[in-house]
Parts: sequence; C-alpha cells; structure tokens
Amino acid sequence: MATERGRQSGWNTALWWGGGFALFALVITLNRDFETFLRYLVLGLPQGAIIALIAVGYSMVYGIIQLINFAHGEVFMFSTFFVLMLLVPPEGGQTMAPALIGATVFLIVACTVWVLAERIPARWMRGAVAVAAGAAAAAANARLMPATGAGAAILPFFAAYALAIVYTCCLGVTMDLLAYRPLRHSPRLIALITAIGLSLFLQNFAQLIWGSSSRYFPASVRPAILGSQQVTLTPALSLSRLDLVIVVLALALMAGLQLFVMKTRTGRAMRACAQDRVTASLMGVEVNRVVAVAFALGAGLAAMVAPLYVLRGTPIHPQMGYMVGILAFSSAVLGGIGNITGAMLGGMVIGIVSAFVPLFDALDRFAWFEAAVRAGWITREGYAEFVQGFGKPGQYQLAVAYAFMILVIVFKPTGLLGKASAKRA
Amino acid sequence: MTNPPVLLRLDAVEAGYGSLRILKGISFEVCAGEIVTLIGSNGAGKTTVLNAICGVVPPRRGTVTMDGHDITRLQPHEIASRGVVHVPEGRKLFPDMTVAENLEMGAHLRRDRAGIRADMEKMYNLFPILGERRHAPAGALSGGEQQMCAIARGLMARPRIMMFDEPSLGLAPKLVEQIFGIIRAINDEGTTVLLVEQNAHMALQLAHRGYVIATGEITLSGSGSELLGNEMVKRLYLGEA
Ligand SMILES: Nc1ncnc2c1ncn2[C@@H]1O[C@H](COP(=O)(O)OP(=O)(O)OP(=O)(O)O)[C@@H](O)[C@H]1O
Ligand SMILES: [Mg+2]
Repeated sequence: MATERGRQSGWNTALWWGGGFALFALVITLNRDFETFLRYLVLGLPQGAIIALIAVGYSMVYGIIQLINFAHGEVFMFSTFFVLMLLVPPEGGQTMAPALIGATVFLIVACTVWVLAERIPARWMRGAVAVAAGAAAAAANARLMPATGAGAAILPFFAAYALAIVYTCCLGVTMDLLAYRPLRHSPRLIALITAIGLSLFLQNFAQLIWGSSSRYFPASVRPAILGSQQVTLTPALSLSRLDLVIVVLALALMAGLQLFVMKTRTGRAMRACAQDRVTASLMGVEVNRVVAVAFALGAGLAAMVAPLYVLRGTPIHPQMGYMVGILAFSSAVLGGIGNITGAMLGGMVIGIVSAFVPLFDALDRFAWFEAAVRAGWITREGYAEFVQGFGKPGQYQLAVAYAFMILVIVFKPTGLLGKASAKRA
Repeated sequence: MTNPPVLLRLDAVEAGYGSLRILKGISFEVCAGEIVTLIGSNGAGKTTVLNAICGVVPPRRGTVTMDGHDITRLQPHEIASRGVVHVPEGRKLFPDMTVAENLEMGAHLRRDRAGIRADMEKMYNLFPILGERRHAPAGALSGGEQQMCAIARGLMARPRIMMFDEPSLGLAPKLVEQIFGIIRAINDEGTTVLLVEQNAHMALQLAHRGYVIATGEITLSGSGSELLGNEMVKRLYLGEA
C-alpha cells in the first residue's frame, strides 16, 4: 500500500503546485484579458518542451546508476555542432577541424559498434569489426561534409539532422563506455567528478574543433516548415511554425518514451535496473546494455530538440550546453530526479514559469495597478524607476525559475513526483 | 542404480568481499533432479556460496561448472541464461513493479510470448493470492506473499536448477510448510533444487542430500537422513541435546 499511496501523493503535490501556479497566473492576467495569459503560456510551451526533453536524459541515467551526468549538456551542444558541420563548411581558421571530426566520428562509431557487437565472442574479432565500422563511418562522414571554401551543403537539412541524432546517440554510448563504465563500482563521488571533468573536456574539445565564436545556422539551410511565420490559432493567439513543430514533436516524443518505458521488454528491464541492478542481472538482464540504452536514448532526445532550439535564435557555441544543461538538470530535480515523468513535468513547469516572468515589466498595465495608484500604495514614477533600476525585472527569467525551484524543493525535497528512496527490503 | 549426472559442481571455490576471504575452498555437487541443502549458522557463508555460483560475487579461485561447462568467470546475466536461477535472500522483488511485471521480469530471457502467458496463468493457479493481486505493486505484498512472488518469478525462467536462499525466513510455520511443499512440487516436476536454510530440520527432511558449512568450509556431508541422525548436526543445528 505504501507505494500506491506514495505515488498518489506525488501526483497530488504536482496537482497542488500546478493548480496553485495556474491560479496565480490567472489572477494576475485575468485582470487584463485571458488571451494575454494564453499568449504567455504558449510562449512557455516550446521552451518547456525543450528543457523537458533534455531533463529526461539526466533523470533516466540517474535512475539507473545514480550518476548525475554533468556532461549531458555538452552532448546537447555537440549535437548542434554535428548538424552544423554537416551543413556548413569549417571557418577559415579551423584547419584542424576535418581531422578532429574524423577522429571523433571514428571513435564514437567504433565504441558504439563495440557495445552492440556483444554477440561476437572473440574480443579481437569484435574489436576488428568495431574499428572497421568506425573507419567506414569516418570516411563516409568526410564525404558528406561540405569542403572549406566550397560552400554548399551536400546533405539536406533533415538528413543532417537525422545523422546528427545518430552521432549523438553514439556519443552518449561512448561516454558511458569510456568514462563511466570503468567506474561502475567506485564510490559515487568519483563518477561525479569524472562527469564534471568530462563536461569540461567536451566543451574544450568542441572549442578546439570549431572555435569559440558564436555561430548560427545560415538562413539558406532552414527548411520552410521550421520557419518563423506565425501560425494563427485564434485571432489573438499565434505562434511560429517552428514552435508549433517543437511542441508537437515534444509531445509525441514524451508519449513515445512513456510507452517505451512502460510497455516494452527493454523499458521494463530499465525500470527493473533502476530498482535493483543486482537482482535485475539475476533475471538475465545485461545491466551494462541497459545503461547504454539509457545513455543513447537521453542523448538522442537531446539531439532531437537541439537544432530546433538553435533555430529559435540561440547561437551555437561550445558553452551553450552549460546553461541549458544546468536548467534541465534542475528541472529533473524539480520533477524528482530518477523519475522520467517527473523530468518532463519539471521541464514544462520551468519553461512556463519563466515565460511568465516578462509580465513583471508590464504590471502598470493591469487594472489593479490603477487601483493601487489611486489608493496611494504605489506611484507610476516609482514603478518606472524600479523597472529601470533592476534593468527590467522581466529579464530575470532564470532567477525566477531557480527561485521557484528552490521553493518547491524546500517544501518537497524529493521533487514533484519523486519519492523518498525506499529501503530495499 | 546408476547415479544421475552432476548438474552443478563447485571445485575449491574461494570468494569474499574486498580483502575479506569468506569461502575457503568450497567443493560440492548437485546432481540432476536432486534437492540438495546447504545448512550452517549465521555468517557461515551460505549466501556467499549462492552468490558465487550466480556470479554476483565472482569466485577468486576454483571453478564452478554447470552441466560440464565452466561458468566461473561469466557475468550474472550469462549464468542466468544457462538456467541457473536464484531466489535471493530477502526476496528482492522489484517493489514498484506490479506482481505481473515481476513475473515477466522472471521470464526476461524467454521470447515465447504464448509460453510466458501460459506460465503466468500457471503461477496464478499455483499461488492464487498472486493472481488476485497481479496488478498491485510487489512492494505492497506481505512477507509471505512476497516470498511466493519471488518463487513464482524464479519459476517463470523455466530454470534447470533453482537456488533458494532461506525461503522460510520470517514466515509463520504454516506458511513455511506450504513453501516447502511447493519446493518439493517444483522438484517433482524435474527441476533441480539447491536449498539454503536456517531451518535445518525441515530442510534435511526434504533434501536428498545435504552439506554443512561452517566459517566458509564444508565440514560435513551426507544424505538428508544421515545428517538428521548425526550427533554434531543435532547439537549445533537442530538444537537437540
Ligand atoms: N557485502 C558484504 N561485505 C562484506 N562482508 C560480507 C558481505 N556479505 C557478507 N559478508 C560477510 O561474509 C560472511 C558470510 O556471510 P553470508 O551472508 O554468506 O552468511 P550466511 O551463511 O548466508 O548467513 P545468514 O544465515 O545469516 O544469512 C559473514 O561474516 C558476513 O559478515
Ligand atoms: Mg544468508
């Protein structure tokens, strides 16, 4: 019974928070008009969907091996560079890029094939297959990348997008194989420090390959369906095609992930490993393989949203994964780290909460503001000074998001859907 | 009468935790179709023996052979795939998964959907309480129900040898008898059993043969009735004067 009750109270808390927040948002917006509320909500959805899908990557891995994979943000960053490298020739100074990219593709494909080819019993044969696959992939990749100076991309946008997703999955698997698997039985702190080190390494490695300047996808490669034209939902409510795609894709991915985890044999093995790895192995589950699947899935989900995130106007650079990563990780904690549904919920909540923050710059347009001025509690000048003095409070989206998160964690330390780690009897 | 073939054999197995050497050269064998019991006091190393067999505590020296194949260095999931199934001490169910999902986990290595479905129905007949509670999380079962669920989960793998670690622990006498009856029934259907028990009396009555383990070594062996009549066993493990 304890478990049933625990699960319910998780949902109850989530409902309380969600309901409370909706009420708060309603109260401050209804004074103006309901459509303003919807407009901000719609602004928050794509942002939240992106954070949610990245957050899942943290939670899934944590659920199984209790490791906070700090390098997950860098995986996200790499996936955008993978798309970029397939679409845009390297810049002038990047003479090392082709060689380093070749080495990277070789390594990640070879490691992934090594992990997949467990059926081959002889290690040398398995190694040979892995090396051959890596070399073939590196050679093929070199032909797919546009040459320096030449210009035009060889692959269409969506092909590059798909290939980048594959590469990113391979990167996730490789990271686990080389950095984390050898530490599976070491103290958790060691693995955590390794994760931080790996995160820094990947940032610097990306900088070595692609340089530190900010880049964008050139407008010429952007497909029309991911454009910024507005799609009108109601006369007063519209969002860009890109945002619509993000929201629809994210919902589909979340539903798919939920189905995978709950209904498939591998998903079930994953949940079993999250509860008790040793016992799962007694059932014949190959734990290392399940962990590899978790890394690949998490990386793949991040790679699915990464180019869309960039198309919303954020520059591509080696540090881009850091901020997004921390935000997504915090969302995973907010939702209850280790809980996949929680990570999705946490990401959506954070995205939506931060979307409402710009409202604070426009408080003077509310009806109750007028009333407060008439009552003599505030003056218009005072408010204008406040807004100026804080350099527009509406910019403090992250600060408010984190404050909200801290508030939730104070009242429910296990996160929205998390529960106190039950003793394994 | 010709002896049935040896199914599982341990040969001078040494194992331990960290720098602790717990098993100091354990040798014994289990023949196909037998019930063999391993008795010994707390901390003697019984659980460690089972963990060494199933690969959770890899042996440092010695060999474990299953059906003539060396399985000493294999990973737990590879050993499981050879039909060695362990019903661990303390049940070790997946508490947040339903009873049905726990049973499905037991059949993880099998691919015959229809067979799995049929076996699940069989388990629900064998343990009606599991059928009633198939959609409840396993963590919500009582201790006895959990033990039944753990046994059913083990059976779902269609094991060749089933190892039980103290299945009677913490259960009421009536339930203990029921569990022992089930173990006998499992054996009657042809599954070999290796049983670790504190309840030496019942274990020796049930088993064809038994081994006594003390501080990581086998000190005595014999048929169940021989050990039941042995003076030392009586004094140390059966609590008789
Ligand atoms: N994980 C572990 N780390 C260190 N020492 C351990 C560990 N597990 C068991 N031991 C030690 O190994 C010895 C044998 O333990 P084991 O669990 O095999 O005993 P047992 O015969 O199963 O006892 P019981 O009847 O109480 O279950 C004990 O001295 C115990 O302290
Ligand atoms: Mg024990």
